[in-house]
Amino acid sequence: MSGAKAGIVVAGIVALGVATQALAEKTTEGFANGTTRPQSVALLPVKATVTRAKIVETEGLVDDSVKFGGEFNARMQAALTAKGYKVVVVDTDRINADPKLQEYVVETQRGFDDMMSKYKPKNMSKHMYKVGDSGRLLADYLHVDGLAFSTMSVTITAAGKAIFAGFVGGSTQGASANLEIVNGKTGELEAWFFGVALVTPGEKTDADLSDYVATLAARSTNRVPGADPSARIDVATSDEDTIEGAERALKR
Amino acid sequence: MPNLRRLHKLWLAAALAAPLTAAATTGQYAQMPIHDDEKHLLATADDLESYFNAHGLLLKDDRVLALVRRVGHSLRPQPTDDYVVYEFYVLRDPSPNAFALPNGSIYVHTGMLARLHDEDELAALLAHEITHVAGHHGLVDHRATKKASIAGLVLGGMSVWGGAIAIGLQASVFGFSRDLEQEADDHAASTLRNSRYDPHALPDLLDILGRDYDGLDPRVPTIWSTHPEIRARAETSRALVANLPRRERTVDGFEDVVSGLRAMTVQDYIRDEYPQTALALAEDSVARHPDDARTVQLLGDAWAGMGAQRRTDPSELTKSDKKQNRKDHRKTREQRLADELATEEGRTAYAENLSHAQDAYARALAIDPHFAAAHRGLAEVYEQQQRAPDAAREYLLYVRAAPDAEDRSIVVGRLKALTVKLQETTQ
Repeated sequence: MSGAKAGIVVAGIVALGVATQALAEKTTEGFANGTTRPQSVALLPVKATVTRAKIVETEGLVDDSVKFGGEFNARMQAALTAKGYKVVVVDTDRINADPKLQEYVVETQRGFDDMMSKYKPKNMSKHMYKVGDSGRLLADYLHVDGLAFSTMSVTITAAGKAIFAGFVGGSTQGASANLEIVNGKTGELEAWFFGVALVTPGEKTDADLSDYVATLAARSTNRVPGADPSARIDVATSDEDTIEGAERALKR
Repeated sequence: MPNLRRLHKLWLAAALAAPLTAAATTGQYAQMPIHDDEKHLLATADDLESYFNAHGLLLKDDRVLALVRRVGHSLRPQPTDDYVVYEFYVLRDPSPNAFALPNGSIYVHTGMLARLHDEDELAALLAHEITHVAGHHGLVDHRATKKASIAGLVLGGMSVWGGAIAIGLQASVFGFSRDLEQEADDHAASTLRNSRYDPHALPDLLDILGRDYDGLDPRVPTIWSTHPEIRARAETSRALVANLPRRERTVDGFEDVVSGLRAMTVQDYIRDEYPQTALALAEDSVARHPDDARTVQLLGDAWAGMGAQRRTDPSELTKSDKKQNRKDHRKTREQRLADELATEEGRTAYAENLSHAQDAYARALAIDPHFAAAHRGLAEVYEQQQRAPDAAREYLLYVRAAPDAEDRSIVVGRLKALTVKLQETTQ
């Protein structure tokens, strides 16, 4: 290979690497440099979908979604904790035991879904994506400065289905997961991470599914930078000081 | 393809024939033994309760649940099959919907309850859903169409980013075939006639379901994708009950239980950016409770939530208007507001909407001078009108009047930003 050709190959590999990274993560500048990166996050229930696609019908397995969703959340908790974040898990028991928390979670989740339906990666830096006040109230309620949302999807196809799907343009096998981190103080989307796992056609056991879940949890968190309290900029002022300051300003 | 369609219709007719005949002759549905390959439908229907529970979507309000269960159980027949156990749930979702699963589970959305006027309309809704269970419509539909599983039916409306708003839309009061929906309407009329409830509540219910305030028809996966059909169903059911005597509606107890859900639903629609729907529901509430400060304040919130949109009559919207609405709905609130404020019409609408909001908050304070939330509403209006001193004053009144408010940290944050502005102005 000539030097020029080798250069092109290297440049291609570098470009591919950069493109892959760009596709797998997007963060605000503040999140990247640590000034707005949270130190503690509330991990909301994952939106998990486990689907076994058959030749004649696609069966969404609700019980599998609940079970493996739980596994995914546990792995996310471990991964984020290992990176130095204080993680508050918002699990089913906790939500259903506390009507106020349930209200905040449901409202925040809907705000998040709405936000993501409008999300375009190129606009992340404009700080235009917000979950609304409910997200800030939820963070306040749980004493965290960030909210972590995640989705996980695993689609398993029977061996024949993959070929069939090729003919009819149907769904094929695959697994992917997202992790989004929202600033608890502002309600703004700060970071988006994406991970995929290859799924081979054919029946899968629960152990196989657990492996996919582990891979997805690892791939959607491995680019998350560690919690860094030293970089965070927080100016603490008491509520009373702020209120008195406003009263003084109005008297002038 | 036409042959396939014909075959499909024959299939459906054959599958429908048995239960319909039984129901037609006795008024009761016959048993329908379940096939082995259908058992997963029941298992999934059972699992859905865990799924909704895991996402905190099952409403735990005892009074609301007691109301729905009381009305539902008073109307349901004895199950004909051991796999049917009637149970009634309320899902925390603002969309106007309800759905029935073949295991006997019936789910009603909070947004559905919020739109009803009385217990009789709730009875009409539940009578319709109960017919889907009693008539084994889930199984009939599955046998006829080999549709995807129940989970696909119920959760199919949820995309990867899908919100709770789409839950149940495919297995809703609109989700079965036209024949089965008509059968459920017909049976509901008959059930109401034989109960203490007013059968005329059925067409009223279908009228409610047919309202599309935000004019997003038909792209957003909501009930409105079958909008003309629901209107036709309302007319058919109106004819069906025309000769039946009217009965006095049960309003009082119902209103007491449901009014909280109305406030919740209006707030949901404001947050989800369906402002015209929020406004219509808020006005409906104020018409019922004109002297309730909380309700009037909610009307202020709804007007403020309109941003720079002008009030529209959904019946006057053209296809192109609806297309534009759907396009606008994909923008963030800030993007949309900025685009609308770039036009004279948008600026006028913005000023008018804020003025309406201001009036409503002032009215709420006239009803109850200690009603703190109205101060917050006024502060937000003044902030948008660039009246920093007035906004700061109202925020101060709010934090002083409601020192333990859950949104205190947010309001204090705004106060802080306004203080900086005020200091800059005086320097």
